[in-house]
Amino acid sequence: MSDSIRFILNGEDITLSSLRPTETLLDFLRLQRRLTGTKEGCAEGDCGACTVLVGRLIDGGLYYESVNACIRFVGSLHATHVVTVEHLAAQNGTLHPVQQAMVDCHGSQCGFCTPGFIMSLYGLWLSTEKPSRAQIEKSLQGNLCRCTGYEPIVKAAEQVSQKRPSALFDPLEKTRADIIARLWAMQGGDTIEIAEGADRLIVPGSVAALAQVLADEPKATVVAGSTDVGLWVTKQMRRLNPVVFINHLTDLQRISVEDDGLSIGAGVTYSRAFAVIAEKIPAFANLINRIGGEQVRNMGTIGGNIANGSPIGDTPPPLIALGATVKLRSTAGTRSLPLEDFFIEYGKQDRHPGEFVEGIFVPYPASDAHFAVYKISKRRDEDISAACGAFHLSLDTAGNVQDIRIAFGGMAGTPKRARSVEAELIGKPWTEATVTAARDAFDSDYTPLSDWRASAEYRQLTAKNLLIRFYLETAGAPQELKRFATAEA
Amino acid sequence: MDKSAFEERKVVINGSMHGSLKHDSAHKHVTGAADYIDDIPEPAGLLHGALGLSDRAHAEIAGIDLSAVKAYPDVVWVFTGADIPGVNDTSSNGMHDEPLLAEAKVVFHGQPIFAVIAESRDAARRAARLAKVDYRDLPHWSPRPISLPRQTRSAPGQPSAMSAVGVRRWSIRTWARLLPASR
Repeated sequence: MSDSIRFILNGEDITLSSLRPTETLLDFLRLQRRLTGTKEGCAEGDCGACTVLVGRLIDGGLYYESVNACIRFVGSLHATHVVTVEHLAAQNGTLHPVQQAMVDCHGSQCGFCTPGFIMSLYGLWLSTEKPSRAQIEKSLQGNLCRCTGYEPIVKAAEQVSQKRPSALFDPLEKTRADIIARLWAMQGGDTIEIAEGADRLIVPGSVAALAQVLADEPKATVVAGSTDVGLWVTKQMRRLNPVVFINHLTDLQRISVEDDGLSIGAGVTYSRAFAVIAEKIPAFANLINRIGGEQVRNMGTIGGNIANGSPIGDTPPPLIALGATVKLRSTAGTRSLPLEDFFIEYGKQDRHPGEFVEGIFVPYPASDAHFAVYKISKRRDEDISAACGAFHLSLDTAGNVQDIRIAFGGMAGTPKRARSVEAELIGKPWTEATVTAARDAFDSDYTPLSDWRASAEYRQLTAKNLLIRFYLETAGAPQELKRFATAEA
Repeated sequence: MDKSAFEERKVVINGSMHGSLKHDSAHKHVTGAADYIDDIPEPAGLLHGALGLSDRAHAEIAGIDLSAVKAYPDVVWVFTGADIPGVNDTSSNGMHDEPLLAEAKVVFHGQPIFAVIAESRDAARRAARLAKVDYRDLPHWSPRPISLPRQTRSAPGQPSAMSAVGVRRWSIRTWARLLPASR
């Protein structure tokens, strides 16, 4: 048992043995360390003004990813390297090439969002040698600028990728070996527990230790990416106690490509899952590009999206349509169940006290099956779905519907299948007449709510129309609409 | 006209016009060294404020109970529009339709109704959530888009949070009549 969180902040080793479980990285930087280059904009992981990089060891390599400091808890930073905008320029004031390009291309006006843009562009610069326009836009999805405009900022990203200076100039490339050694030394199998008054945070040393912690503390809040839990704290001012952090558990971050499907650990982030999903289930990957911005995808996990139980989580509809199963674990052992059975009703999942989501298994769609996911939101990027629908269709040789699985988020208290619609379609010829006749069955499947994202009528009509759209996309020659450059990223 | 005559007429502007100039503060923006209000170190004993916001889009305020806000630990002062000396109005266009703190009526979700001053940011934010506001909801939807030319169009039968604003486009001739006769 250890009683302190240790990480590196820019160049300095930080050891904290006194820490509130919901202390955010942004408050820690700004209020305690007086590193005020990192700004507070929305405090909900949307605007990106608070973007910093967090470096962590993955299979011995050191990877830096952009994150939103406003919703990242300090307790989740053990054995990481936090890099803020203050770390980029040289001691003598010489700007980093990314910073210089933003100056040269007139990429700042009021300047408030600029440090966040710098950090997102820097993250891209570190990870991608010659980014395409689409990759640049994707890296900036999570940064909002309201006065400069994006064009000069994108120009800066293009300019800096043209003349890449020697790695020796870069503050993180220079120190890479040293940081790896220091992070390596900080890692350890010990469970960390810090009590602050009545509040406690726990960082289990292993998955087995996590199971034991949750057996002892079944009411604990389990936090992986904190892309939703962060808002409970910053927007709802909720007190969480105890908080159990799991984002560091590498045993939950495995992806294995099996013959019949993908096995994805609960701690795998959207970013880390992206490449393999893009290869195996491209339609699903296009949806992932529209979840949050890059910072949110670097923190958020598919396991968290499920365990959270939200009726508007984006991944459950495609996962249910694909027939995914969820694996739950506790000290009593593990069990698997179809994902659709995990969601019982609003706010209630089939998760026994002490259980946690260990992973999911996602079967591949058959090579001749049709699979599509549609996310309907007011903004294309960085928005929460009004409705999200997934369709998974198999036809027999005669062109009749052999099987179809339709699942929607945003239409009920849980992510839910449209069983009446499915029943209307199965066995019938896959024609416009069939789908037109079946669309009204959505009325018996769903009774959506009106809220500020969409009215009930809009949602219901959307679901019906998406069925028609899915039909049209499966009829005739396959075509893909690419409306925005990010679809290619 | 020969070429040299043309070139002689070329105007050369000395100074910064025509040049691509860097933003004065760009180097500070990109390094995080530009100080905004929230970045300035606080003087000792600085009090913190938080606003109590409307959670209705359009409603009459029938009553406000601020007792729990005032009783919250470390709260120093709670004030409403009634405490503002002078006119409770921040309208910049003379419409007198934008109170600093809403009193009888709120016209948008998130409109400030009261302010809490406390010894810490956390106390101010937590206290601001404890008010009990009694709303009488009013119907809400926006007036129809305003048509620019000639007459303004009203939205018959549609209640709105604000009255329709008319914008009139004048002809050049009308402007000319209004301008002073000579310069």
